[in-house]
Amino acid sequence: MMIRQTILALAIVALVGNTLNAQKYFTKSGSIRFFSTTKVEDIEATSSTATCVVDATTGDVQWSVLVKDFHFEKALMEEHFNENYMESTKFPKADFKGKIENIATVNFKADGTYSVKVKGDLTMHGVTKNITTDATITVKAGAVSCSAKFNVNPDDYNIAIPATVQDKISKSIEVTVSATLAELKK
Amino acid sequence: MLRKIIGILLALALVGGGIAYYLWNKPHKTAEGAKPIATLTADALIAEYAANTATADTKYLDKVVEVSGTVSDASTNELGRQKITLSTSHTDELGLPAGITFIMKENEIVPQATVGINVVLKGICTGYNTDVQFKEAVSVTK
Repeated sequence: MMIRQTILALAIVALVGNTLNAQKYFTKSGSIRFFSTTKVEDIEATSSTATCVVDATTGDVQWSVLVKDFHFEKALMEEHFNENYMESTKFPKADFKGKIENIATVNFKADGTYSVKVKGDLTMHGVTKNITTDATITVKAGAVSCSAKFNVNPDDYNIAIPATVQDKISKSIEVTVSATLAELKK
Repeated sequence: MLRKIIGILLALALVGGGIAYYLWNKPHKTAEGAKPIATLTADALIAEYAANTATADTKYLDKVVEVSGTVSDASTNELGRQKITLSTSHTDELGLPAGITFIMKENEIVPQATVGINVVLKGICTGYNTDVQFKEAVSVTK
């Protein structure tokens, strides 16, 4: 009886301890680029201040970016993007909260390139959609980096593109995210 | 009469074309030459945002704000812009130091922005995401 209780107590301590010691990797300088291509023109914008946190034990992953931080080459495009399409004063942030489904296949301490699948909720312009994407985690000489590329449809997020410019903006926007992550030291 | 009408239409077309050209090629709005709506320390600004983000956004989002503080990081981002972070006494949800981050305007380099140095910067506020962030910023420190 005593032995069973002891084993149970030790198991609980180990489980709690493992959770408390869950290793996290983060950045406040993540890059998010989106790219639209049509016959009329190509449009791209980049933010280099996205935040990303990855829990190496659970696979939980979160990205967050301020919409007004996206930089366009053309000031007028940046204005239209913020004021008319993304309404960024009303919806200042875009977030992703999800999970790396096969996190156990990634060894954050061993050099390698690991292909993973990420699934979760992408929220922008006040709308949340569940998305799935392939991603890559690279470990090299102790440095961890991650990247993913996927497409989003403005329609899905109630982003209204005026008829006058519909031939200039793709119905499917390519999004590329990448980050070099640092280990979160306790 | 007809010549007059054609002349007026041509003039309108030229003016219209000129306005369209200007709008298409107009420069990005920056904090240069703009009067800030507020002048405060890095700590005071992050305290406002940490207390109530929505209220702080109503006050500061898209506005030019002047902030003084101590540099905790200075680097160059992928677009070649200098990025300067001022430290605060706050920490974020991960327990990491929260700061005020400025992306400087094109070709604005603050050579004295090294870790531990006090600077005064002003920029256009883009919101709060663990740090309070600014874009198109300039140095006020002489």
